[in-house]
Amino acid sequence: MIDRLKFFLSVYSLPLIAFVIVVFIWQILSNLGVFQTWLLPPPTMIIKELYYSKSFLLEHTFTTATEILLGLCLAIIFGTIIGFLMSSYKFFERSILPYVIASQVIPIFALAPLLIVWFGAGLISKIIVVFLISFFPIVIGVFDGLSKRSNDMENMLKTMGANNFQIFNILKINLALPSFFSGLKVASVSSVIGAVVAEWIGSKSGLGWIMKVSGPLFQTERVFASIVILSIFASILFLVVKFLENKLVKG
Amino acid sequence: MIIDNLSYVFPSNKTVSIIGHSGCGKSTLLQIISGIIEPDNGTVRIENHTDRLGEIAYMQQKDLLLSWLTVNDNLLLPLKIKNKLNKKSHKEMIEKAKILGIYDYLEFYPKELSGGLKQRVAFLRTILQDSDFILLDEPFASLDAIKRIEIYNWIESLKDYINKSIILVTHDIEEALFLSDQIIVMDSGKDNFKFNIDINTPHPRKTDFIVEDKFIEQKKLLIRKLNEVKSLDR
Repeated sequence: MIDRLKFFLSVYSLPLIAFVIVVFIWQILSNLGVFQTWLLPPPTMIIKELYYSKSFLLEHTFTTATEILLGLCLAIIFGTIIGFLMSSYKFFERSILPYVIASQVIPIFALAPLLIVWFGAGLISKIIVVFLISFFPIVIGVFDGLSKRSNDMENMLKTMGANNFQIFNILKINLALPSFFSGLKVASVSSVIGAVVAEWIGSKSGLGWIMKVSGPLFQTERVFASIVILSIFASILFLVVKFLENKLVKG
Repeated sequence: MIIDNLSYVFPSNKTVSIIGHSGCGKSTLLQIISGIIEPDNGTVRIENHTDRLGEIAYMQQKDLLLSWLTVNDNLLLPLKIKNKLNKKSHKEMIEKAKILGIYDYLEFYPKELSGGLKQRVAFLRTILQDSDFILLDEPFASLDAIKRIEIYNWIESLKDYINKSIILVTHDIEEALFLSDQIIVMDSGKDNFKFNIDINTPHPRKTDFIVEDKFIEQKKLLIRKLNEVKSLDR
């Protein structure tokens, strides 16, 4: 327990100290009147906002979280299937890879309004945006991972009498896992951006929507509160992926 | 062509060593025997069939341990693949791991092991494949001289258990002499097996064997024969 605490401190103490110092200076400067509070609210105001508007913020966090998690899950499912097919069938790779790449270079700002026209300002258009933005790193992760070959190990398993299914199960999945998780880590963070952008462009709820409507009303503390929540959410999402990676990628 | 006009019947339940200069086709021959590659011409037969994948345990030069599995799971891999993992085969693994000095490392991952230990694990995994035929491709090349003597002793002590047909490829004459019942000198090109000699000293052999007159005489003979054959490197 003590060792764990020491480890925790050794890893997190420096970023924590940096954070505390920055927040402290920010607060002092605000108190001295260097920034006007409606331009840059002091940390205490943001904390108050987080506290007093908690049910309001929580409700909208729930909307955004739902969009992110559903979009990300769909991206994992379809990304894995497409990546698997691309690595297994050359003709499939050749025919689909250009479009997978193209899907990534279309600016989401151009696509989101269209999706909102097609699917409405509700949940579905947001899920599609999150899906589109997080799909690419996952497909590429799975595809690259499954394309890794180890002929020596494959041959060894063959001499042990392993069939193709066993070779896939024992060898290929495990060779692919690290690059799958690299992709998933990128996807988990960009999925948050996707959701916010989609809400910004057209919605009636969610943290992106709060940011959009609060700015022009000079409720900057509300914008910052949303940013704080989004950062925490993205960090948790990233840590969950990291945790799963540590559980599944061994040795 | 690296191997041409080679025809040989390997004796059963004996250890046969193939020695030769690097590049003479020793490893290629093992790959062909194992079934990983098929020869352009001719056949390899076990008794009277030619299906070899899954029938012959083959330890390649690299240890090829799966880095994401513990030593324990690496050792049980061949048993799992063949669906032969049960209480008895598991116990057998434990026993042999004890003899080879691996037992204390069963829960370790390969990256936590020394080179010598990894080779021993790979060696034991090959034996545990529970096949009557074993191919070993320079299995102890990365071990230092002292570790090698140790492992020879281990193998000699395992011999009663193993009692299998083994083909050992090496460029270490002492290793071949110590472990084999028969040694073949190989060369690339046509008629690859140039010379063979039987080593009749009974098993288990003791370390003293390598300083006996007979051993040294046979060693000299093999060195002479090796010098007579050409190699690709020259």
